Order: sequence, then C-alpha cells, then structure tokens
Amino acid sequence: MLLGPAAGDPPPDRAHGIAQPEKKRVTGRQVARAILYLPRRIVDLAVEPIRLALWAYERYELRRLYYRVFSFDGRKFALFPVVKLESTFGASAGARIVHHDLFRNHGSFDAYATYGNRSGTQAGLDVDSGWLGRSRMKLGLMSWYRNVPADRFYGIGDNELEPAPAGPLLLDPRGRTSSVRTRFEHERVRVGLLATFAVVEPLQAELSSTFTWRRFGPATRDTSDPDIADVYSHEDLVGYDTGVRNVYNQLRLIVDNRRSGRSPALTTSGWYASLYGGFVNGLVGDPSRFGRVGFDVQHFVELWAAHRILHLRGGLDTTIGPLDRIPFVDLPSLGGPYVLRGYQRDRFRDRIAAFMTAEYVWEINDFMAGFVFVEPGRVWSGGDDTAPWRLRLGYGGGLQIHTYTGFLARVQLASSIDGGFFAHLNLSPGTRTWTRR
Amino acid sequence: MPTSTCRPAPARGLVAECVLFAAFVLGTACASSPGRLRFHNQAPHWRVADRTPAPRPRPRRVARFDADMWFYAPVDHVLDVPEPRIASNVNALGEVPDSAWFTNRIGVRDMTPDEIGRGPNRDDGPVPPLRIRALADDRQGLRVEDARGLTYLVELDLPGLPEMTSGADIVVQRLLWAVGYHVPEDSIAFIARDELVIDDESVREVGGEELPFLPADLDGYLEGQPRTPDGRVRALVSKFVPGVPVGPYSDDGKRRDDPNDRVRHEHRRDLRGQFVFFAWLAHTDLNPSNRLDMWVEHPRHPGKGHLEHYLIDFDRSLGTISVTNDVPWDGYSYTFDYGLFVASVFGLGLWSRPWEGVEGPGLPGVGRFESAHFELTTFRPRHWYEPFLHRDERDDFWAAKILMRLRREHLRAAVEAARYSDRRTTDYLVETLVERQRTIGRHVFTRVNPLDGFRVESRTGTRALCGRDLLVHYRLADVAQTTRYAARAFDHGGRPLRGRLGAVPGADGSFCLDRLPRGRTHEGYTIVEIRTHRGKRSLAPVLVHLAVDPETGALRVIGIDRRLGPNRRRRQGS
Repeated sequence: MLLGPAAGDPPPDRAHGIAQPEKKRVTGRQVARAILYLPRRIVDLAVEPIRLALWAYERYELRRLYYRVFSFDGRKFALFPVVKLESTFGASAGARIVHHDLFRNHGSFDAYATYGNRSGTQAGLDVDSGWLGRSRMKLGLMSWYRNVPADRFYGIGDNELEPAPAGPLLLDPRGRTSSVRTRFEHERVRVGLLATFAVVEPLQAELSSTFTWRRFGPATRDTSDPDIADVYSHEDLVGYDTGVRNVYNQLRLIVDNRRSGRSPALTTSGWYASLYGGFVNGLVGDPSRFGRVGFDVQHFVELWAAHRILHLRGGLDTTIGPLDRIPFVDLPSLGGPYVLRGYQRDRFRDRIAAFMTAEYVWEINDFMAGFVFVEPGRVWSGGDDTAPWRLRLGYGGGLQIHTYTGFLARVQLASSIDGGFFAHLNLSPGTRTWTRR
Repeated sequence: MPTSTCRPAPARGLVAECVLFAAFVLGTACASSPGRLRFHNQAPHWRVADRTPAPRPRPRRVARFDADMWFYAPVDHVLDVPEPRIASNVNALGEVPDSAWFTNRIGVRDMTPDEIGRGPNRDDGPVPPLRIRALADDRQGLRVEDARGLTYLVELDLPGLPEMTSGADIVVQRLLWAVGYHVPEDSIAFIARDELVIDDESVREVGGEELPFLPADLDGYLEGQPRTPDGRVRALVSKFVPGVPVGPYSDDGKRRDDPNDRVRHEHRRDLRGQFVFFAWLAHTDLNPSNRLDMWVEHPRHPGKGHLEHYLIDFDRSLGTISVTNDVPWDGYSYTFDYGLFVASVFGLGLWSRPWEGVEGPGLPGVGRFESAHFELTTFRPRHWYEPFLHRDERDDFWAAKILMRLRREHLRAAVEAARYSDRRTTDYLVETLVERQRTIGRHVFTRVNPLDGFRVESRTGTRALCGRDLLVHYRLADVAQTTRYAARAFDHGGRPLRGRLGAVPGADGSFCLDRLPRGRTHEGYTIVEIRTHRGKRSLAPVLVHLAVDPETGALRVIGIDRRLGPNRRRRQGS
C-alpha cells in the first residue's frame, strides 16, 4: 500500500489526460431534467420520512428495542398492532398479544382488542395448550366480546334489496319476501372450551362446548339506514327481545395436511376438511333449540409452476329445527370479507348456506402474493324456495403481504353480479399461522 | 507486447471484394468526424494521488436500511434524467489507474496460479491459541485474538450446509483481489476446541449488552459442525484490515470530509465495472455493510492519513444465499424489483420468471450457481446500487477485458484455496466460472468494438497501428473469417489524412493497419478511427489518438475514444 502521493501522479479526477473535451450541447434530457426538477424534489421530500424512519430503525436499533419492550421469552411472546378497514364496517385499530410457545409445548395464547367507530369494540382471548405430552390431546379456551353499535340485518332469505317500506306496516322477517337494509345494536360474549384429539394422522377430532350471550337493541350510532325494529316485526325476530343465552356442543372432525411455501401464510398444497355437527340449547328463557351440521373442504393445488396455486373451497352450513327456535343471528349467513366476498357482511341469512370458492393465488415476490377469485353461493330456506338453483356470484382479487414468519396484511377488492364494490384491508401481523413445510 | 501476426486478407471473389471495398468507402465516407476531443501528448497515467494525508473523516453509519438502496434509487434516477456520462476516474486509455480503491493486477500483468491461490494473504492465518474476545449477536462470528495479537473474525458454515458459505467467501475474495479490488485476508482454518481460549475479557453480545462468554456458549456455537478425524472444525477466518474503520463508502456522491475523494462514486469505473464481476460471481449482497472504508494514519504525519476502500464479506455469493435463505430469485431480481413486480402482478403468474428452473448442481458446498441460465443482462443484485444505474458499455468492456485475462488455472487456484473436501465441487465451480466468464465476454465484446492493446509498430519502413480483437482473440465467436477493419486518419484539426487503412484479424485476433499517416501539426497529432465490420454488421468506431513522443521521436498512443453504437443498451440489468 502506498502512503502519500507519488510525484507526478494526478488527482483521481485529472487522470483522463483530456486537453479539449467534447462540445456539450443542450439535450432533451437537460430540458426534461429541468421540467422534472420540482416533481423530483417533491418525491424526494415525500420519501424523507421513510428515510428518516429507516435511519432511526438502524440508528436506535428499533427492532431490538421493539422486541425488548414488546417481546418476551425469546421472541415467542409479542405485542402487535392490528388495523382493519372494511367497506361495510369502517376502520378499526387495536393490538394483539401473542405467545407462540405456551407451556414450552407449541401452545399459543392470543389476546386482542380493537375499537372502531363503526365496527365497535372487540376483544378476545384464545388459549391453546399445545399437544399435551404423549396424550395426543390438546385443550383450548376461546372467548371473545364484541359490541357493534350498528350491525346490519337484511331480512331472512335470498331476496333482492329493496328500499324501506313507507307505511307503518312491519315486515315479517321470516316471510322471505323482501330484503331491507336495517341496523341494530349487537352485543355478544362467547366463551368456549375445546378438546382436540389426534385420532390418526392427519385426522383430528374436536369436541367443544360454547356459551354465547347476546343482547340486541336499537342502533346506538346514527346511520342512514332505518332501525331494525322500524322495518321488521321484532316479535318475529327470534331472540331480539329476549336476548340470547345458549350453549352449543359440537363435534368436529378435521383433516389437515396443508403445506406452505416460504411464508407459512402462503399455503401451497394439501387438504383441509372439516365436518361438524352440534346442538344448541337455550338457557334462562332463551328459545334456542336447534341442531347445526356442516362442512368446509379446502384443497390447494400447485399448478404448472411453483407458487401458482389454485385454492378450491366448498362449504355448507345448515340448521335443523323449527325457525322459531333459531335466533335470527344464528342462522347461517353469507357475505363479507371472508365468505361470499362481493356482498355486504351477512347480506344473506337462512336455514342453509352453501358456497364455493375458486381462488387462484400467485407469488409476486417473497413478501407478496396476488389472488383473484370467483365465489358462487346462496342461502336456502329448505324446501319452499321459488328459484333454488339461482346463485349469487362474487368475484374480485387483491394482494396479500406476508413475511418469512407469518401473515402481515391483506388488501381485497370484491364485487358481484348484483353490483356493489367492497374493499377490505386487514393489517394483522402476528396472526397465528400453522407451519408445515 | 506481442508482435503482430496479421494474416493476409483471404482470397475472395473479385466481385465480393469490390462490393466490400465499396461498402468500406461508403461507410468511411459517411463516418462522423473525430469530434473535438483531444488528449494531452503524454503517457497515460496508471496511478492517481488519492492517498494525500488528511484529517480523519467522521465515521459513516452502516445505513443497512437506507431507503434509497431498497426502492427509491431507480425512481430518483428516472426523475433525474441523467446525461449519459463516461466514468471520470479513468486514464486516457479508459483504464482505471491504481488508487486507494483499486490496484491493477491481472488486468496489466500475468499472474501465476499460486499468486491467485494465495490472494492478498501474507500468512497462513491465525496462530493458536485464539483468545475469544466476543461472540457477535445472532451468532454472526467469533472475534478472536491470535498468539501474535492479530484480530480475526471466525465464522462457521451453517449447520447442514458444510463448506458452503466459507467456500464461497474464499473463492470470491481471491478472484476479486486478482481483478484489482481491495479485500481482507480471508482463509480457511481448521480449529480445535482447545485452541479457543475463554478468559475474563471474553463476552457475548446480546441485544446491545455484553454478557460473560461461558464454555457452554462455545460448545453451543460449535454444535452441529462437522469435525475432521482429529476433532477440528472448519472455519472461515478473516483478518481485520489495518486502520480505523469509518463506515462504508456510499454508492453515490463523495465523502465530503475526505479531500482525496474527488470523483462521485457513481461515476467511478471501478465501481460501475463491479456489475460484470459481481454478475460473474453471483455476488448480490451489495449491502453497505459489505463495503468498508479504513482510515490509515500516515507514519510521518500523526493525526493525518487517508482512506483505503475495501470490499468485505463474500459468503453469500456463488448462489449460496439462494440455498441458505431459500431465495431462488437471488441474482435475478432486486429485493424490490419494479419491473418484475409489475410483470408479476399483471402477468397473474402466467409467465415464467427468469429464475424458475434454475437449479444448483446438488454438490456439497455449492449453492444455486450454474451457467446454463446465466446471462449478463438478467443479473440483478439484491439492492439498487447507483454505479450500476450509471454504467455504460465502456465500463462493462473495461471489466470484461480484465475478467477474460483470468485463465482456467487461475480459477482453479482460487477455488482450491477454498479447500473443498469433494473434488467434484472444485471441478464444477471451475467449469461454471469458465462458462460464465465466456458468456460475459461474448456478450460484452459483441456490443462494443472490442479492439484493444493498441500500439504503434514499425513494419518494413512504415508505421503501423496494431491492436487486438478480443472477440477473436478469446475465440468467443466464430467471426475471424468475416471480420474486417476499416480505418481513416485525421489530423489534430479533424481534417482527413491521405489514404484509407484496412486489415483483417490474425488467428489470435491481432491486426495491424499499415502505412499509418501522421498529422503535421501539434507534435504529429493523429486520430485513427477504426470500424469493425463482421459480415453485414458494423460496430461503432474506436478512435485512437496518437502523437509523437518528444523524448523518443516515435509515434505513440496517447488516448482512446471508444464510441458506443446505435445498438447500445445502457444499464443492462437495471
């Protein structure tokens, strides 16, 4: 290595030996640069907060700081923000605390609380013991509270949406003749215990017993929609006046051999099938008394190349029993950001609900996947339907953002053959995803 | 310099000759003038003064999460509409002089395989016992002090992937050193457990805290590593480079507090040319933490010194990161790649991305490194890097010219330095490096007029301008029979000199333009514009500037102006 300059060596920008440079001319590029000067500065300024954030991230080791403050026990226990944005229910934000290795047994603890002006208050606590020793059994506790100040009810049946009737006559919700968008306050608490048994790989049996408490009333937030009791005869809305206090005992059989890609949030192949049946009994004046049977089958197929996945799904949810013993909110429903997307949440309710999904998912990069879907489905009353084979059809697409360790966010746009446009953003890092590769 | 071995023009039909000649005349008549560019009548500089003693600059942070590097650099580049600019730190021949950034090695002299096998290393690595100073956070290396008091970083291969990262580091370190970059002294060592000594100063860094380093920590660190029959563990040892670290060099602009840093980094040919070398070696991790400026104090000027610029940490190259981090797109996509993002979103996954179908050989110690799918244009590092956004074919040409000088035995020496246990691994890496090298040479030398090694010779009483066609010389394409060179000469004022010159290449690619005229003013200043015709295709000209050496009275080359043709594609891979 040389130390100090040697005699005769030019400085680095003078080594070219040029005596007379090429003539410089004003070019189109210079003109374009002059025109773009201001936009460039504006973009530069807009990026500055990101730069600053990344600089601070490194300078103050924010990741480490975050884990030191919000994460414990070797990063298995952490606090995450939660943000949801839904066309129907607006924005909500909150936090969730997750532990991914409870009892050192791959059990989990997931507690969350969110609040939104339109979506109301939500809180929940899920605990999963993980597989207990060699007993091939795990126990779980599931509980949540939700208070929606202006939940929606569209009547019962597969009816076209109509404006609210002008006269004083109230509609019978069980008449299945018309569908009017109404609002009501919906407060509920649910607490359940689960025991899961590994029967034989990949079959599991799950026994659960869930207590649900619900209270209904006039919407507590101003909306442009009429109140439920101003449109529908509330005497005919089972459980509306009395509230709901019932216990649901269920047996579910599950087959799950799904595999994931680089991110556990991106399922690439395998089956998930669940078949369930159970019975609801009302307590303390609650008229509930009905059975429930259904299935949810999902198949993930990797297509012609890696991470081009076809996700096929079919689901059926039926209630068995007289309609006057089934609370109106317990009727199987379709619509919303997860099932029969392209329609408002709980747009259709009736004794039977069935849907199918064909979703094509493709990897965009390590942290993003695109998806498009088409989703037919409908609800049935169970015998007296006038056009039982007419289906509703939703379609749409979106982007999912994930990391190497789990789900981060999902943006979804959906519509349907009946019109309407629904956007859904779900930012929920730390959402537990099963891992099997 | 080798003497010319020009062969006579092959016998062709008279009509064909006439047509070809007419084409030459037409082509040369339509040629542009030599332009205004003129060089000083002086020998080209092969060294620059950028080690002038100066106060120590302030340390720069590693800026690992620099927003520009991840996604903003290309946006700013588009909005800036930069004028294509020739690299600023080159000499009159377009070569990069020796500096604190780069030292010409294989590019200017022949090197022995042994020399490349040893690389920059001055000794055989650390001398035990090795006193443990610190185990870096996330187990990223053990800092040790050897018996001589020298500090080394000891890094192990990932469990289950023996020899992979350590081997890649050594191969790439040796080769980048051979082409001219400054790198630390890295080597493979086999360390016994009892050669590592824990004392009161041994710590482990956890979350910014220093905790005592215990024997159990060492056992945990060594766990899962394969052992030699005598119980030793293979490790990559990297000697700390001399000087005081002052952070990475930025990929654009200059370091304001370093008076020696006079060329904006995006306009340095040695940095722009890294594209070719890094593509060859699948070295994609251009994180700022992998470049390091060291301040070296001048022995006679206390408190003053200069910066030496290093490339460090190559263990993620040669496709290893594809395997260790399971990122198959490594080398084919930026972490955030606008083009691929748009294509992937709107292509609905219906098209095959460039890396799909690329597989490694499945040999121990080798990552997803192969030559069948390799193209220079599809190479992408993981991060946006300003010099690559500004590079042009001249920069690629400079690098490819150096790259092609590495012979198979050189590459074998570099690979053998990695001490792979499986002979097939060594053979595979050598062959793959050769094939990728030739792919690069073929690509670059067909896009630039690849004439080089210009010199003036006296031949049978007249002067001749001789040179070498690198495409033919390295036998990268079967074009020797269809290649002809046509030239015109101009004086200092740009006026044409008498006669037209022509030649065809010899078997080794060399050629001579005989009866070279000489300008009558400005010390015989003469500009020779040489066009290369390959069949029906013509390449943009090379303008060789000559003048009489005042000391010897002989005509000599004082500058080269390499033009880019209409087929040029700037910023391939950007």
